[in-house]
Amino acid sequence: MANEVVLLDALASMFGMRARVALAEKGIEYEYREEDLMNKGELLLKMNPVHKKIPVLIHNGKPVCESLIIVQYIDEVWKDKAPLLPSDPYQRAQARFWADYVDKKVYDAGRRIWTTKGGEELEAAKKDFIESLKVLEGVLGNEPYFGGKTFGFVDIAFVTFSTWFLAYETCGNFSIEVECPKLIEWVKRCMEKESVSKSLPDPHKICDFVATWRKKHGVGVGRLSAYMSTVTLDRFECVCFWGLLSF
Amino acid sequence: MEEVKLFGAWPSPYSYRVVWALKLKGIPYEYIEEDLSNKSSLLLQYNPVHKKIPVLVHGGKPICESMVILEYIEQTWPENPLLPSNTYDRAVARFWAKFAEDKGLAIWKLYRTTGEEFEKAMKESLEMLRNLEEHALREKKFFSGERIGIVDIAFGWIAHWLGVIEDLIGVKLLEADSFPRLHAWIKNFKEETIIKENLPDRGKVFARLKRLREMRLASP
Repeated sequence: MANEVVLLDALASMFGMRARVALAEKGIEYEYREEDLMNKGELLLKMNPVHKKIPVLIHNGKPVCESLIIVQYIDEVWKDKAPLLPSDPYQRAQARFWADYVDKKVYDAGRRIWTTKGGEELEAAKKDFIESLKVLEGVLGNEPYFGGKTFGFVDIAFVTFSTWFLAYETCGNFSIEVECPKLIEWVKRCMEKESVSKSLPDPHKICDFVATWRKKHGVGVGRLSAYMSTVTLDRFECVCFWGLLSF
Repeated sequence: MEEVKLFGAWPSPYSYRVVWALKLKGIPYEYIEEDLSNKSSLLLQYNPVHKKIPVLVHGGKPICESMVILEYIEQTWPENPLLPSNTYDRAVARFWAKFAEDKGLAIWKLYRTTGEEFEKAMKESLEMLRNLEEHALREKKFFSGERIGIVDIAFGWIAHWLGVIEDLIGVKLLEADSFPRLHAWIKNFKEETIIKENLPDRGKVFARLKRLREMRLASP
């Protein structure tokens, strides 16, 4: 049966990146479509009428929504190559638990860091963010990946956030490497994989539009001004900055 | 078979999700009731990250988060399946189970908020119910088709706890005229023997939520 795979996505989305990495891990050819999140396309609205969000994987015309569900779906359909989830039920449950932890704790605290004006709110967000990263660093332990000896589900769920680390660090004035050196080693290890390095955008691009968003919303700019690119971010900004709040 | 234990709490619909799954599959287990105001050291040992129930302990190994537990139960005891066998249908089921997790939270805000926060929770709750009625349930008897499955279990709280919240706040969200399919689903769901025999006493749930509401709204 012909396998037609389309991914509706937005470049800066750490959730969309998860789908990209999973597809790359499995060597699946697909059509990537960048969505303008300020002007959502008919196809996106038709394929995800409930949330109207990216990423959406369209496989032979049928949509799969929610990034971790997409990754599981990819793993189950293309099961003969690069297994992403462990086969053992208990290990699988642990993988699901920690991917869920990334969504519940890391995303929320990270978002608060770059959207908040500062002061107590920022300090609280930083504290929560660093705490959640330290927990994950503990889970990693001395293994090369969260999947153990091989790159897997939790690695995919979390590594996409690494493109946002520079933005978080700059907004919060802290260093993730100082707080969690093993995690940064793990990020570098993951980035040696082509499936990861080719799927993740340059962290400076993320900083660029975070800076633009913050300027637009009158949230402390100074520190990020160094990352303002000379070219006005038009489409990228449009694609990304609303997306940051809605994907 | 290795020993199965469930740490739960009688007021919690999350706890009942696991009870229903275990009973639907006929898995014997030991139930341990947790006092949520005084959590046991064993619970804290088994769930140090979130310190919450439910926790399933199988052969001494803990699994936390109700939907993670349900997937574990499904994989470990495949009889009387709760998930579809078709890969695509499974992805759709997981989508709705996640929807229950993400959007269900608004309903729980209804009984403990006022003013703007309450209005926002009302709007989100109604939107959630509308999505279920139009996109999830459609013409089916259960979310999963002819038999109860993982999505029905995930939304089980609508069948029992939502009615209590409606009574408490004096507002009906789930009008029969506006949500005929959900109304029919609630009736079908509660008629299933396993569900009927495993629901907390409505009066007790009401009293508990009333107390929590009073405490919450009284505090500055």
